[in-house]
Amino acid sequence: MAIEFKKNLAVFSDFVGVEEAEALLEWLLKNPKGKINLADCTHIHASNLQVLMAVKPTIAAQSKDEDLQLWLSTLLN
Amino acid sequence: MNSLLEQFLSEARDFLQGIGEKLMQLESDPTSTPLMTELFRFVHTLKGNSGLFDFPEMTRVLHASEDLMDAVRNGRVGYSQKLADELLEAMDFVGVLMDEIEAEGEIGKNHATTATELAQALRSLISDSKVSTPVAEQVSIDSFSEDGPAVKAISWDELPTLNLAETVAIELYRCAINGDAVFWIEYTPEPECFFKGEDPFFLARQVPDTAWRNAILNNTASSLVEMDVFSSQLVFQFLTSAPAEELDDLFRYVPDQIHRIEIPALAFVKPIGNTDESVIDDDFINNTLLLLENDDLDGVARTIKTMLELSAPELWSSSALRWVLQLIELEPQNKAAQRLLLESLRTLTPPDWSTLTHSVQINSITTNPVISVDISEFPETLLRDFHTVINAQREILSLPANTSGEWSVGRLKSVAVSLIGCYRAINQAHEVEAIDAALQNALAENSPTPLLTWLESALTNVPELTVTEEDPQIATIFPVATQNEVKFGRRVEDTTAAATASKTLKVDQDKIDRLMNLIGEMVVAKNALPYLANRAETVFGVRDLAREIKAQYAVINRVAEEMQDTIMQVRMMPVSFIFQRFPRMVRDISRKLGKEVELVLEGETTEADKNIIEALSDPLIHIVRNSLDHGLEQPDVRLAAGKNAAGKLLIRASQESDRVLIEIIDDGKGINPDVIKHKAYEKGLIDEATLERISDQDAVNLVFAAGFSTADVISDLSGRGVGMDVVRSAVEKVNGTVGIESEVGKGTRLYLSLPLSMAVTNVMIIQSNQQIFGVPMDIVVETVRVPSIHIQRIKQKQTTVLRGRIVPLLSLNDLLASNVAQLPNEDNEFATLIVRVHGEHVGILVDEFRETVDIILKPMTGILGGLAGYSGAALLGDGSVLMVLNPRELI
Repeated sequence: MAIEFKKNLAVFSDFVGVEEAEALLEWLLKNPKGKINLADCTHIHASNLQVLMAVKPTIAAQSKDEDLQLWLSTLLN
Repeated sequence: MNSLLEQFLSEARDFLQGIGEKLMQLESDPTSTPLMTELFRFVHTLKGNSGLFDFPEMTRVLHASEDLMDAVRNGRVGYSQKLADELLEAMDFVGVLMDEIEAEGEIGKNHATTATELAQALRSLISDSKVSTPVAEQVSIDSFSEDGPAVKAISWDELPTLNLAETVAIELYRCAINGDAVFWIEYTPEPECFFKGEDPFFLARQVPDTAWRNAILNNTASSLVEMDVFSSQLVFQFLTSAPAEELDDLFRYVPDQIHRIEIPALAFVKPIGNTDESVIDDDFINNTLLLLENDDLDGVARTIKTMLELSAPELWSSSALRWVLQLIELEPQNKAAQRLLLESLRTLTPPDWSTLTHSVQINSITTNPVISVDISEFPETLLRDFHTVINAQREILSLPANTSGEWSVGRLKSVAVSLIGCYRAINQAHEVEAIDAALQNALAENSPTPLLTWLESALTNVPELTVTEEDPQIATIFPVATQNEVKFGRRVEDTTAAATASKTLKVDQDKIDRLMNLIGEMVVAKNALPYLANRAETVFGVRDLAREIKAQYAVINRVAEEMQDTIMQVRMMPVSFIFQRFPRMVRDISRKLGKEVELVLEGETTEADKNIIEALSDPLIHIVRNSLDHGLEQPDVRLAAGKNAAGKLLIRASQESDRVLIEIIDDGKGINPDVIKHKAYEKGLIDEATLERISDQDAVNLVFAAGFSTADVISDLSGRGVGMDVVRSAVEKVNGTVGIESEVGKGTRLYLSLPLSMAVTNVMIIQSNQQIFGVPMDIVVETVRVPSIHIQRIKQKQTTVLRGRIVPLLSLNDLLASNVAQLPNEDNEFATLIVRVHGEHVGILVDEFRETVDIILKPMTGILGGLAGYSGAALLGDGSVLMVLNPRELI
């Protein structure tokens, strides 16, 4: 699993593929205050991107990938 | 290039030709459903095949063609001339792509746009008839605007609203002014793109040189719960200064989801900031404008800089002033833009650049006569205007004088003024003096002639308009379409055989066979020449002629042999032709048997005559099945015997001089000679005495005996007793031999030895009972003369001892049942031909040996075909018929 769902935190790692999107949305709906940790994430599939853009959860940790961080910081604020 | 691609290209060309033909036929019979269906099938298959490779351009066009054909087939769209034209054009394009793939192995990047346009043209044919044209039109406008020259056709209100930071905007503006096009890209992935394995976000991250980028979520669902995460609702937007080709390449798979606009430099000039207060009053604006009119750019810059120091930098007016400075620096001649920007300070609203037209820019050029520009560099519109004015002046000058017979001074003067204006507009102010001089002359003469003469001579120096007198609107909107038409039209004419001919040629096998027969007859005819030389010498006594005939024969012989070799090579096929089916077969059978098999194929490139290869196919399958079924053990048995669980089956082809050797080697349990012996005895194949004294090797060879089978239960794989004897007779039919070696517990090696080609047979001619016969050289071991005293009689059989080995002797006359004794020579020696039959040496007594010859062996047909003792007949050089014996059957 490229996303590890903890109690109040979803930890993204490496490449988060298309198949994670549904689980991500469900988790975010169930945990409206859930935060996202992107530190070890290098890329998220567009399907996950649109989920994050729709829900706009709080980002607990920005991605270390500079380009991804740039994208997400503008899109998720 | 891999063989799959090669095959695709060769097939695709056939399809293209087929499509072309069907379209032609449809033209004469537009309602034919079978033709239509066939055409659809062609396009459909071709599209499917192209999808195997990474040629998105080709697949895109073919896909559109397929959709169109499907619509035609279902009667949704009527067949029309236009439709055929579009399809043919698309197929020509595919042909061009294939040429490129063949030459370079890939498709150039420059085809992406053409592919999209062709696909859209084809699709528009479908939508035309559905009367849903608005969408189609929208799309086509977008696509044309993508093209360089057509960018000018975009109106200002079509441009996206840009909200950029001033520094970014200034940078982009500088880029655009310096000639690096800045593109606005809007990428709207299709909703179902996730199911195609696409990741639009990944693609978006690859866009190079972005100055600004954004993503928008168009969520249509009313609540988050209803959101469909697997349907893309994203739109990506970019501003990039990357080259168009690079962008085309990046989006080559999704060109229809891209909206690209080249942004004019001025579009970036957009002051931003606080508009609530402004320290700038009308006086300042008027003064600066005045300085601008007087061409005092330094003065303007100074004034603005002073003003900037006085005002807060975040004000809208400050931003606008900074922009004016940029304009002055980068576009000093563009007074209109500078003026407009300054004027905007009065209202504190961004200037409307769309009011800036060409004429404004032209005016600004005329005030700068210092810059000398070649006239050919002027925009087309300007040249067009120039010619219109000049032509009008010429017309005025050619008008007849008025009723009073005098030319009015005013008319001449106005013409001169117009001309001066025109020449100034194209930066040829030096002509002004000449025009003035001509005007003075004209006034003095009171005639238009001097001006007219000057005009005619001057016009020759001005470049002609290259654009024809079309409606300029059409010319700018459809430049791509016309260009393509020309290109494809040319291609159709250019398609000469030399340019596009494929390297391989498909030839009917009958033709090759006929060629083969002809060369055979040629060899026979050639062989007649030595006889002729002989006759010339012995019968007619002309020795010189005989020598010349022989010399000529040598030449013809050489050419004929080379020719024969070449034709032989045409018929050659690699054994991979039959080997390629084994991996699948072995896999299926081993699964069925629950065995593990590692198949190794070697020497697949070894070549042999097509007939040999084809004759080999069935026997090989038999052998491989046998090896799998009887040879290799179950994994547990193998492990117990200390072997790998997976059995190894090696099929190897190699060439040994003029024969192909095929070996099938397994490391299975081998053949137990005792088991074979007893099975053969049970089946009555051997008698008790044989059972006792038969050697192990001979026992193993019994598997080739007719009706032999060791399996007790008949399975679908083997056990019907028609195994190895069928293999042997099939191999012997093509003059091959088969052998087997086996070691119990270690494995079995089966080998087939086959001639490379069966076209020409080397035979030895022998004489017996005053007739001549041929014996194939490949079974002749040696020729000896056996003295009659060395011939022993054992019971009724004659034998002799040759180098310590007992060789049975048979008389050919007896074998042929002619009941005549063989003739010995003067020394009472019998000519004996030692032949190898079924692995044993047998001596055949004949009357006399003759020469060996190459002959084309023709199998006997009809009633004679039943004579097993003869393998065929051949024509000799002197015209006589040579019967070729088949000692295997004879003995």
